[in-house]
Amino acid sequence: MQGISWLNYLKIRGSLGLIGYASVGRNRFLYLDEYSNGGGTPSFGGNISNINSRLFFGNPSSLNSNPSSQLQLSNPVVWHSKVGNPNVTWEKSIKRNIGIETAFFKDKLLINADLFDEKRYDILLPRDNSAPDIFGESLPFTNYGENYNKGYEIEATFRNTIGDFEYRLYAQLTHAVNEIVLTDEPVNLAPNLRRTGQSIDQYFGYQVIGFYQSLDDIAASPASKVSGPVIPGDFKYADINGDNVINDQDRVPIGYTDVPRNVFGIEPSISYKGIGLSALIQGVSKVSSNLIFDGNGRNQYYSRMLDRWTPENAVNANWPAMRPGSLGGNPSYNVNSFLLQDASYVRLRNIELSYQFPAAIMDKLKLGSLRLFVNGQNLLTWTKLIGLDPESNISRTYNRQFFSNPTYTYPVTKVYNFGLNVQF
Amino acid sequence: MLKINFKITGWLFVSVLAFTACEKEYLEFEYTDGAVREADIWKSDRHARGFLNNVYTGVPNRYNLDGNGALLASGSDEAVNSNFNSSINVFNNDTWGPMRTFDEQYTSMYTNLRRANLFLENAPTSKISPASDIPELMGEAYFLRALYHFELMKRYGGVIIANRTFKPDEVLDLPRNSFEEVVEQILADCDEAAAVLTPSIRDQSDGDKGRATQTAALALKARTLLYAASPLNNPSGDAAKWQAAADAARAVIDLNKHSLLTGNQTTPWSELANLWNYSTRAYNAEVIFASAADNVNSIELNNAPIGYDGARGRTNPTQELVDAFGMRSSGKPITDPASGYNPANPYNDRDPRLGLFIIVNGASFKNRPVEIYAGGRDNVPTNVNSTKTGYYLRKFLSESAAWGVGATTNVRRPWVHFRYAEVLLNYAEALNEAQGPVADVYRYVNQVRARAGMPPLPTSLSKDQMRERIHNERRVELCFEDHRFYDVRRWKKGEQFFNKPVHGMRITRNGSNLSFERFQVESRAFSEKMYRFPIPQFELNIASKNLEQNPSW
Repeated sequence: MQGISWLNYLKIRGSLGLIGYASVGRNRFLYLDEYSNGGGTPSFGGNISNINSRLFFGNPSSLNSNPSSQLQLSNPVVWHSKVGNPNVTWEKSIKRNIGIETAFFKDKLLINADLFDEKRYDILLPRDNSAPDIFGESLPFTNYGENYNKGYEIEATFRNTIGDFEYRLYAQLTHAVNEIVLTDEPVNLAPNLRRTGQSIDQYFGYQVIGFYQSLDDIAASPASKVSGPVIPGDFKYADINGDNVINDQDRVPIGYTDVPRNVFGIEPSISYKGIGLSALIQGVSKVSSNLIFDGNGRNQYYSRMLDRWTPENAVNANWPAMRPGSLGGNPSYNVNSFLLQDASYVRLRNIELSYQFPAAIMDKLKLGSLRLFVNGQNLLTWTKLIGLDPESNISRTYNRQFFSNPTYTYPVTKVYNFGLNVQF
Repeated sequence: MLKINFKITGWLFVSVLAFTACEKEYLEFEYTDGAVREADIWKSDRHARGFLNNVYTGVPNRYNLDGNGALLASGSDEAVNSNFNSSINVFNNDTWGPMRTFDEQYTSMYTNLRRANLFLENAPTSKISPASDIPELMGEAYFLRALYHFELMKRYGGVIIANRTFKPDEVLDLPRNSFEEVVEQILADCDEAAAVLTPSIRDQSDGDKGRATQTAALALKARTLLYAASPLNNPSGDAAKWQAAADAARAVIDLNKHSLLTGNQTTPWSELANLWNYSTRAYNAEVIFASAADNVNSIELNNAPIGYDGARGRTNPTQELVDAFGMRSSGKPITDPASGYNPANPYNDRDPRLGLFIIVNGASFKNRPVEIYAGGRDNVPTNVNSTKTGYYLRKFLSESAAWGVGATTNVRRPWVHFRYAEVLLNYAEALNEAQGPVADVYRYVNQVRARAGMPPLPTSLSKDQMRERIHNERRVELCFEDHRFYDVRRWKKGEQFFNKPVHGMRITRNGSNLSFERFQVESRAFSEKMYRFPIPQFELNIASKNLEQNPSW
């Protein structure tokens, strides 16, 4: 880098690759037709063993005295369990990447950036969603689907020293968006229900346009066939397809997926004469969560439900009305735009204050090194997610059709440490 | 010495190798840890027969349609399901639709049809031995294919005929075949089957009882023709179709293989309750074709009165059905002022079948009288399963079954798809429509009545009066057997029977006096479109070009 004093390092790099994936968590014998028998498993040698009793023929009266001898009447059952596809081949992906690595001002500022994309195609899937059921069996796996994933990654470090004062700031951001380019969907599927063009695992739900204010309001609105009868104070959903009925055909893509599009981290640190302060701040954005505390279908209530719709609180209501369980399914607790939560967060993952005793004292104490520190993990979290820790997403992915109660999740814990580190 | 030893060992080694090689060649041991291949199935007698057995697994068993013990009866004016949340209520409360279906057999029947077709296509070249068995085994598959098409036809009307296996790469957005074409297909398959099958259950060897027979194929043919001749499918009232239906039913009768299950002379109905009980009356002469007989107590657990070991009392017969049972002495319907019906003692002197098919207050069940009066052991309004109508189901229930804690007894019961009484009533109905109330009409309706201990029909009925009598006879004799739901539809009488409230009986006890009061249980809705099932929306979403929805859905 002759002649450019502010730039001391520059590298431009790129890659292009074609990758094949075989046996992606699936049967290795997709190309073969398969047969199975009544619950038994095919044995070595391709024979069917353990023919189970699945069908009874024969005169049962002779069996009355000895019910266990019913097996004598059982008849083996064999069925065609898989249609083979002799043309099946592996899934492929084309990955591209271009990046730069730079260093400025005598390595005080380092910036790396990457731009990437991946086209995954020939994805193996059975085209059951787009083939009529009159075929009468599950269709074979074919190389059909296509996904596209793209994004960028930037990381920057700035570090400097002024006398005894040292400071360093590291920041990193990853942004990635994927899209289903081609998947197995019914041709007549309403546009609002199509997954093609959406992200993988996009949430779909009802668009909330308000609360039902009265029985008259319910009578005047499109009939709700979401689940169970509606009462005043339930969410009113948009009739997307305009057929004057609210049902699962009126769901639309809402929110994002449960995988954040943006992930970032900031790591500042300063030190002065053995005193050090460093932190790690981490966050995600553009992510949704179907976690909800809805009472678990039981008589269990949460403080946020104090804000529920009541005739008096109709204007400020922030939660659907409470209703007796005997009414049946609660239509307001189907995945909808109001209750699907924004699971973005910024979290102080780690912060540490430390003091490194100077070398002069060490020599007197005949110690190698002595360090005193106090640190904490997960001390502060800024999030809009109500109810649980935003990272407790274990059950979030369970079923995107429904809200899931965070029954079996255990939240991230706060940790405080105080310590003395001595080396001899 | 050492050298010789070496030599011998060498020879041994060589001969072992040779032996291993031979073994490999002659036993054709091929190792695969994955698929069982096509050839392995059809090369094997046992597996090929097993494949046909599997086609039978699709024969519907209708004792539990909603996963909670509902019978189809609760979707018609025969009964109310004690579980108000049961999905069977979509038939009654106008929430039925292409996206909310019940007893939707579209996918399952095409699955069954594919199995039947796979067998029919592979059996001729299979190694079933002896090969002389192949035609009859194929006849069974033809019968099953006809039965599965019939299950589709009675629900949807004209459907896509699956008389071959579809190929995975074929465009399957096919137009529906017409109702007539489906009927033709069913008849053709029934004829193929009837030509080769064993005449009847009585002629089958012990181990084969329950497989399709000639009479089963002919009974299916007769029922298909009856449906095709009925007003829903024969709007012009073509009498020739009725005659064809009559002839087909007559063919079953003329084979003389079946008879009504009859007790002794004074109580001819006494064996009727055992018709569904294979522990005591296995493959009796009245059963023409039935599903495999499961060894269960769930029919009782689901339907017995609630006072019996936590039974769920699911199927609650309606007052409308109870009223359809005539008077025993006079033989007249209870609406006739001369019938002898006493509203203050409504269950006295009624058609004996009332007691056989329905549990009324005071009836004896499992050694105690059933208490349905207000406050009785089997009428506890705080129990959600308590009867909604004042009646419980008795047909199908076996008193020897037990479902209490620590004492369970199962009884083998099939779902009877075809029985001789239905064939007789099919014949009488079709003959009356084709020729009017001729002697044979009386003869066969009266046979069914006589077995039930009921006096013969009055003579000189008009054709219309006879039609009403036959319709009522079917309603009574075949109640809860999946007939009413479809009979009312094919008669085009849905608006008359299904679009009005159903009633129950409230019984109050005052000392030893009982008083009876009818009350409305729930309202019911029926409209023109409900004569056919809706084609499910998921299929319409896929087959967008050619598959047509039924009218008004």
